Amino acid sequence: MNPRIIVCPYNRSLFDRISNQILVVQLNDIEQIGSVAQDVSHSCNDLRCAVINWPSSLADIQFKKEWMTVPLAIYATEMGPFRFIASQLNILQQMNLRVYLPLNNPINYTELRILSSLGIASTAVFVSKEPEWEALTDLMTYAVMNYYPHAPIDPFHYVATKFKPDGYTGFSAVYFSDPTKFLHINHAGNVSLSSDDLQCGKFILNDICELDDFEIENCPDYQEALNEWRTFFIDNRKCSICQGWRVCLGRFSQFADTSLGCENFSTEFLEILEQDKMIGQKRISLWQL
Amino acid sequence: MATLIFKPTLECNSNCAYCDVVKSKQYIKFMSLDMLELVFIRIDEFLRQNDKDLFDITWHGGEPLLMGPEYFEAAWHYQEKHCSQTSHRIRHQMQTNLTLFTADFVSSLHKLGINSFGTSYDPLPNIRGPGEEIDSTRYNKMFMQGLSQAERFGFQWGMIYVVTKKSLESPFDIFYHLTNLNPSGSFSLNPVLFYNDCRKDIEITPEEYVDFLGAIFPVWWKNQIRFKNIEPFCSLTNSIQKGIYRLCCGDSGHCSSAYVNIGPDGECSHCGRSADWGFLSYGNIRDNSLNQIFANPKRSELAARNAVLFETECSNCRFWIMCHGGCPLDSFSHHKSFMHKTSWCFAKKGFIENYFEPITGIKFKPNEK
Repeated sequence: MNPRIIVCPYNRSLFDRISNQILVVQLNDIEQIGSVAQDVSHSCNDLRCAVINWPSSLADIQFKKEWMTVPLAIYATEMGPFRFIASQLNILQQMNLRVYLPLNNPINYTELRILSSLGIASTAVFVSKEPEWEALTDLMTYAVMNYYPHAPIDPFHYVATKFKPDGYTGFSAVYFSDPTKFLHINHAGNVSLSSDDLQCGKFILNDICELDDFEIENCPDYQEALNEWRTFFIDNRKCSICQGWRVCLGRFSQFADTSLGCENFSTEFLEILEQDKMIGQKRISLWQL
Repeated sequence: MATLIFKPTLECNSNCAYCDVVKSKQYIKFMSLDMLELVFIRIDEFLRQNDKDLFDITWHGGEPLLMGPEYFEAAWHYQEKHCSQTSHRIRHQMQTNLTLFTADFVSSLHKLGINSFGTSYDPLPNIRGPGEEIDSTRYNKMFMQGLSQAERFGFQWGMIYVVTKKSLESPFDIFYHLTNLNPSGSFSLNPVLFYNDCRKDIEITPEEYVDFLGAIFPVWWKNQIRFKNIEPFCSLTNSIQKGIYRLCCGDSGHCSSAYVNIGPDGECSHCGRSADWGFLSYGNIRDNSLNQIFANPKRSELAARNAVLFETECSNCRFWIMCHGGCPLDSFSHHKSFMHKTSWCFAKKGFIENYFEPITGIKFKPNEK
């Protein structure tokens, strides 16, 4: 029995080849939101969420009331004009929605915070461009330390909820790319440990139907993926001596050799998480009337 | 409690720069199964005669995993065969470099009750590794493979880092590198120790060791939740703050009666280091019972050391209770006599006075504990 979540394309015949699985379904068209939940349910699977890559701003989407019950992850380019968001707030605030915005643009750091303050869960998406470390640190601090009502901002909220002070807390699961939690399949039913592996044809199974009998713990590729982080230590890369390693796990390694930004950010992230943990332990319930 | 430092081989697949074992003269490379069986017969005999004692076996070497999984299976078999009434008082531990660990060892080690390892690692080049050139790149890969396998099968692990001259340049890099590996057990920063050997390239003075620890200590003190079980910081803090003295063998003041080392040929010595350095021999297990070995007259000099030091070199020392003059073998290495405090005395005293007390604001007052 495989306990992992299956990330797959929207393909009814594929759903029918799987049963009793939890699915993350990647949509091609925003109109598929209306039918995905029902199609997954008919195939005797559960929908964790539907993912849509929307090539424009969030404000450009015309949200529909019938989408309110569908768990959604929308990757948009930006939030867009606030007045267009405001006009749809009555629906947006009732949706089971997480908005993903890329950190390729300074305004998105602010927009993630605005969405959060509106009660809409959001996620910062790291891109190949080096993040604005100061702005990112500020966003992270807001996400972790703001104890007044606001929606989660990931990956910071995710890490804060999973944080183990004396262990590692990675956050790749926020982007559906953690092999301990997700498997990825394509239209043909090939199974990979990541979307990158899937795209380059590196499969751990050729057919999703083999999944029930598959012992993933004994799969060499899986073990290799689990232990990939150790190469940072074998090769003595800069990340291996970073104080913030425990919450970064090399995520920003491409910037580590040329900038202190990622080390400062990760170290401060770690300190904020520890501070949050301590405040959480000491927090008292306010007396009630 | 008796502790057996059990070295079924002095062979090792590594050639670590600071290791005394690999340089020692060897006649028998691997302990025979007959000798292994005799060891368990002796242990049973000892435990029957000392019916309240526990018996710790620390598999050591050389590299004990060179013995192969079958050897540990045989050990378990002999324990079952000869210690049926006493095996519940036997506990096994292992010190291994982990580079040879594979899934094949899991079953036999679990049968012996080994669920954790003590190991060593050094991120600096050419300190740990096989061959003349001390190939640390190869070693580190093998170590990580073994470690990942061990973790996969649920083994806990702790680590010793040996502080050498090369470590002194970058204490934080070393500390973060090793703590980032996140050992589940303790992580000890120990000084490199040599006997009768001049190794200017890697040996350090007690003062250098103190400064190495002193550089790291403020980070540990501030982040104790993040960095658990870092030694010697944890045990010193427990001693000073709580009066809980969990001292290592050399500082305990009663190593004279608790330890014995058995080598591949059955020759017994006082402890692992005395065997590596070639003195305090107590005869062969083939000819002596463990009770006889623990009663060897040579131990009496060690037993008398506490009283001598307390009246002489260590009198009025406020750190006596957590040091007892330090390891007698270090004393011998320096003075050719056990009846002196160790030359590493300054390491503990200097660290507490120069770093612990000023940084924490806590003064060690042994009499108030």
